[in-house]
This record gives sequence, C-alpha cells and structure tokens, in this order.
Amino acid sequence: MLARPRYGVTLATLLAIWAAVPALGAEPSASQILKRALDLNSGIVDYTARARAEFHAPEGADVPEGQRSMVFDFRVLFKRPNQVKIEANQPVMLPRQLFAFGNLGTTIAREGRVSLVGKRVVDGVPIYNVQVAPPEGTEGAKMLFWIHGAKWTVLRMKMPASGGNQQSFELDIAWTYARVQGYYVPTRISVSLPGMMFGPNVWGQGRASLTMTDWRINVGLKDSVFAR
Amino acid sequence: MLALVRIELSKLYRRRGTYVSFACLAALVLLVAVPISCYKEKVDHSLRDELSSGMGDDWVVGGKVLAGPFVPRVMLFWPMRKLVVNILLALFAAMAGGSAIAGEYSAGTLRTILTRPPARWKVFVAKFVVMAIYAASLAIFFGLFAFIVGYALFGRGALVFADMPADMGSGPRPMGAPIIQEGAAVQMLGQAYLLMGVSIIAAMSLALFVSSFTSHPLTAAGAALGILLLSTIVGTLGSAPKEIEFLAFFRTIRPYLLTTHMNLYEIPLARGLDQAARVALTSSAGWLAGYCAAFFAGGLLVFRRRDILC
Amino acid sequence: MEPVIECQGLTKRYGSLLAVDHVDLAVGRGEVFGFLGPNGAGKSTTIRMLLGLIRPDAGRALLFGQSVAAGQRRVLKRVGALVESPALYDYLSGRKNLEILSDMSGGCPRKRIDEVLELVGLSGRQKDRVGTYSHGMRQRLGLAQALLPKPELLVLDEPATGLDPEGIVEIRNLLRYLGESEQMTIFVSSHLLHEVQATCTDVGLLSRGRLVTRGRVADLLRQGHLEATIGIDDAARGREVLRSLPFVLAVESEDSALRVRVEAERLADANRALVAAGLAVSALVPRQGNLEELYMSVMTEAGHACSSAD
Repeated sequence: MLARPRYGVTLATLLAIWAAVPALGAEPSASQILKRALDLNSGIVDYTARARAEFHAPEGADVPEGQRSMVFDFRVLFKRPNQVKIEANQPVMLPRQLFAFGNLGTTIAREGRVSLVGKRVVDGVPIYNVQVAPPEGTEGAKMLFWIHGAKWTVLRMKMPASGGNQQSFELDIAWTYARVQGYYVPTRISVSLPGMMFGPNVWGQGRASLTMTDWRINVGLKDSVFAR
Repeated sequence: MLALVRIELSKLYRRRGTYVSFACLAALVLLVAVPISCYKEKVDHSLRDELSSGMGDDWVVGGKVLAGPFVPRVMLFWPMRKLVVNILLALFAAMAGGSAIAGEYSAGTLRTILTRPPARWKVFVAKFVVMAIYAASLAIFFGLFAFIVGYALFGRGALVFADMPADMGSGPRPMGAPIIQEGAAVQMLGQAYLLMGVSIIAAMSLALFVSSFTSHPLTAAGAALGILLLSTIVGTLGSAPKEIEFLAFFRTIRPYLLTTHMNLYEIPLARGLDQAARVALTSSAGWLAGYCAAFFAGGLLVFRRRDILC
Repeated sequence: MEPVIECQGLTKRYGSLLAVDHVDLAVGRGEVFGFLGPNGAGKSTTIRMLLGLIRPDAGRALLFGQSVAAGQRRVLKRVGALVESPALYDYLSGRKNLEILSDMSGGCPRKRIDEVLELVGLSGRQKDRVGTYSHGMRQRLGLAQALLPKPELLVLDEPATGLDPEGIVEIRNLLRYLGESEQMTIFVSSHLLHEVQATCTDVGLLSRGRLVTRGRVADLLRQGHLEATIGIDDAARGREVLRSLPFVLAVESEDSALRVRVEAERLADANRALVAAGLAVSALVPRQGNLEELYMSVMTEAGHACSSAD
C-alpha cells in the first residue's frame, strides 16, 4: 500500500517527460531544443503497445511483503488528447501521463525557465544538457535533461524530490528508443529509486521500469474503445 | 498413542455433527461470494474506484480487478473476521473441545474407554491432538473453500482489496486499495488462514480444559465461549484511546489476553510477513503456545485425577 | 493362590457421605461372585474403584495384585467390564464400536469380533447404528465389548437390567458357561437375587458401604435357621415334643404334618427326639433356603430399612 503512490508518482514524473523531446538542426537554443523534443511525436494520434511495468523496492524498505517486487504485463491503448485504456488479466494502475504524449512536457516548456547548461559530443552527435527551472516567482525543483542532438529524444533526466519523511534525494531516469513507423518511441524507461524514498535508514537502491513493445501507431482507435 | 489418535479421529469424522461446522462455513462463503458474482460489474467498478481513491483522473486503472483471491480476502474483511473467528469458529472449536471430554462423560462412553488399558494421559493427549487437527482443519477448510469458490467464480488474477484498519471505525481510509499480485496474495491469504487455525487451536484448548472438569458438553462449550467473549470485550475496551482514563486497567491487561493474540492471523493481511510482522507474529504465537500449554497441562492434571461418576 | 480381586480397607467418601467404608474383600480365581446390596450401598463405587474410574480415599483395590488407580493399567488387558448401563457410540455401528474398543485394548482378530457378536446374538444387526438398538440389544453389545479381549476376569454391573425374560435366561446361561467352561472369574452385581443364586458360587452383601456378609452361596444358605416339613403319626404330641427342644425356634401345623424352624445343623437332633418319644416319623423334608431370605435377613440385621433387594 505504501509503495504504490511513490511508484506511481515516480513513473508519472519521469515518463511524462519522455515526450518533451525536440527534433532540430544545428546548435539551436535551449528552448528550441526542448520544443523539438516535445514535438517529436506530435504526429501520433493514437497507438497501441504491449507493456510491462516493474517495481522492485530497495532492500530494507518498509514495504508490505506482497508488494516488494511487482511485475505487470498489459496492453495499452492511447488516443489524443488524453484517453488511455489498459487491458490486462491483472489489475494495473499507472499515471495517465505515462502514455499521453507531451502534456506535461508542454506545460514545462511553456511555463518553465529553460537554459542550456552543457553539451557533449558522443559518436559525433551532440548531447545537450537543458535545465528547466520553475517559472519566476514560484517554488519548485529544477530538472536537468539530456537530449539527443540528432533524434531529439530525451535520453536522461535528473530531478530532485522528497519522500514522505522529508528526506530529499534525486531521481535519475533513463530512456531508450526504437524507431517505429517513422517515430522514435520509447521502448524502455527506467528509474532508480533511492532508499531514502522509503525511509531514513534505507540505503539500498530500488528500481522501476516500463518496457513497451509491439507499437502500432495511428491505427484509428474509436472513442468508444475507451468508454468505461 | 498413534492408535488412540486414529481412534479419536475415526470417532470425530464419523459423527455427522462434525460436518455441520464445515457446512456452516461453506454456506457462509457462498452467501458472500454468490452475491458478489451476481453484482460482478458493480463490484468491479467499486474496486476500480477504490484503487484510484484520492488520485483523481491522473491515474488509469485497467485490467482485471476482481479475481479468485478476492473471495478468501473478503471473508477476512474487518470487522467480519472478528465475527467469524471470535464467534463462529470459536463456537465450533468450543463445542468440539467441550464434547471431547464432557460429552463423552455425560454419554457414559468415557467410562467405557477408561476401563480399557491405555493410560488416561494418553487418552487426553490423543483427544487434544485430534481436537487440534479438527480446529486447524476448520480454518484450512474455510480458506480452501473460499479459494475454490473464488477461483471458480472469478478465475485467476491479482488481489485488489482495501480493508478498513481495525482501529479506524468507519472513518475514511488514508490510501486507495493496494494491488497484490496473485502469487503474493495466495501466499498472504494462505498464511492468514493457517494462522487462523492456530488461533482456533487456542480456543479449542480452552474448551478442552473446561471440558476436563465439567459434566456436560454445552456447559463446557458455553463456559469456554463465555471466557472468549469476555476476553474480547475486555480487549476492545483496552484498545480505546488513551484519553479515556478510566479504561487504563483494560489497556494494561490487553496485551496479555488470549483473544488479543488470537488476532495474529491479521498480521500478514496488513503487511505480509516482513521483519516487523515476523516479530509481532513470533510474540503472539509464543503467547498462544503458552496459553495452549497451560490449558493442556491444566486439563491433563484434572483429567488424570477425575472421578468418573457418570 | 493370589486373589483375582482384592480390596483392602477400601474407602470412598463424597463429602459427608461415606459411600464405601473400609471394605475388605477377596475373590479367587474361577469364582462367580455375586455382589449384592440395595441402591446406594456402594456396589458401583466399589466396582469403579476396582477399574480405576474412581480414586479411593483410603485402602487399595487390586486386580491380579495390581492397582489400576496407581497406574498399573496393563492389568486391564485381562479384564472385561460392563459398568452400569452400556455406554456406546450411538452414531457408530455395533461392529465399529467393538472395533474401536478392541483397538483400545491393543486390538484383537476380527474373527473374535464375529465370535462375540454371535455369542450375544447381534450378528444380524452388527452393521446397524447403535442409536437404532433397543435397550436389550445395547446391553448385549455392552456384554460383547466386555468379552472381546477374552478376559480372565469379567466385571459386570447389573448385566441383566432391561433384558426380557428370555434375555435374562441367556445371560444366566452365558455366565454359567463362562464360569464353568472358560474358567473365567466373574464379578457381577445384580438386583435379581434368584439369578445370582442360580449363577454365582459366592456372594458378598454390601450395606451402607460396608461388606456385611461374604461367603459361598451354599454355605450361607445353610447358615442360621433351617425349615423342614415333618410327616408324623401324632401331630399334637409331636408339636409338644418339638416345642420343648431349645434349638427349635418355631413349630406350626400344616395339614397333618408339622412345619418346623430349627437352628442350622440341628434337624437330625429334632428327629432323634421325636423318635425317642415313640413317635413315628414318616417324612423329614428340609426346605431349601433361598438368597432372598438370606438377603432380607442380613439387611434387617444390618439395619437397612428396605423391603426388597433393589
């Protein structure tokens, strides 16, 4: 019971951001880089995919026995703007933002203060470090993105967070992609879960991940599919 | 000794009355499970609401939320489990334990068997063992039947269930329902039902002890049940908030009551068997073992010296 | 030879009531011993102490020199007992009851169960539940369970209670057979004095917890007074002669004969006196005494204000 909200919030935060990935030419500004990342999959109206969500609590975490390690296999159906359906033979509960492209990213891009804080070239391709700070006059955490300079995919993100015990820690999220029907879609999103999320004396590392395969994009899903 | 145990088992399971308790438990499971099956969709929606309780529309709930493990879990729904374990199962155990000696005493059959060579302590031990088997089999049957009915009606799947914390009354829950995967749910519920068997053995031990010095099975069962209910009432008073000062005495004795530790089967339901749960479980199991040993020793002492007048 | 049953100062008290009062009794091998006394005299308490069902307050109750109360229960393998009304498991068949009780004694061949069922005439009903048996059939089954281990000592407490006349005769014949052919020692308490007289070699009379008489039936019946009918040519003179004799206790005319009551062993002296007085004695017929008279006489002497054996 304790694990679920943390697990969900973690995935919600990190995966909502995968959509914030630009696609652009040479040496753009920080805002342009972020916009390209966000617009990367704007051509996707709907999709279906097979998915597996995993959650493994860190050693020593105060988590009920049955929820220490969980694996959910399911099929996800998405249609813009925000309709998500999960089909599984077991209950699955996940943040909507995990599957809805761009919403959170758009918010960040529109309202945050974006700055380019670094650049590194790997195999001849630039990897941009973009920092998004909360809008002027508001409090909040700064997020750091690593964005691929050729594919405009978000490769990694770091963000500070705090647990229920007021301990602060840093979430580190990584994406891998595959090209499907001309789009770069995420095939794996993984996040390491610091022990401090679960208690002051938990030093182990937990992890959560979402693997998505068998992508079918723009298949023409009807709204009735999503009716409850 | 094994021959005596076999004889006592044969006597117990050849008596039609023995199966009344099993039939009652089966009926109880069906009474709960069949309506759930009839209103499957409503229950399904309600469980989805439970899952996303307090999370708004930001969360998507999907997949099968009503599956086999739901039935054995709902049988242990608070406060129903209090009624089932502390009253119904305790009643069956008290009646069986009560009739084991007092019943045979009043029917005169104790006189017949005690004119045979086996020592009285062996007869008592055999009765205790068989009654313990019976008590445990009640809980195991209850759990197994609930699983069978659950899987027959709803098939395989994980468990979604939000219980009311015992000390919260009818207030709101702080969180939504947890999702417990099928394997973990089966394990957790299996542990709970097995531990319930341990609780019922303790209740039966009390009844067998009372039975060793009473002359009628109903007297023995009634007295044992009365003690259990009294203990439950005292325990309930003892769990009242600390602000109610005049209940301080009950708070003091609550940790030592038989019925307090008979609740050990609730431990895996709340947390699974993690480290903290194991500590709590070991403590309660130790108390129950102590109670059982005391009832056993007391009963044996009385039974060995008792004059068979009937 | 060591007695099969031996009571030494056997005493049992229930509160202020002295149920068995320092009873000393020995029953030898091969005896068919009738244990008599009114209700509440302490017969059943004595039997229960012998079998270890009741703990004596003082004294010892030994079977084959062993005290069951002191834990020497193996001796019960040599004993078959039916204490008061037969108490059996109503929900089991007659045969299953015997199998269970046989197993409690270490088991016996299934053929033996067939034999005892045949012996008590229950072969045809052996598979029926005992709950469907008549009182007489239960009594027979109780007897069968007592005979099951081929005992050297058979202890029966009111075995003929509830039996029809035919059943009583069967029990009488069975006890005779067991005593004579099987050389079994039989200790039987009964209200049916004529049955005891017809069956038993020895009797003991218990009154208010005390053993007031014990001996061979034939000897006891010869003790005290003897009645006889005397055929004589001059009844009037004969009556005068007899009344003058100090050992003649009573003389009555009966048609042309006389009916006299003399002290035991003095009938020949009475005959001698009549002949010496020149009277012609044509017949001298001693009347056989009976247990009922002895019982009443002893009980009256013991101060028991009862009018019958029950």
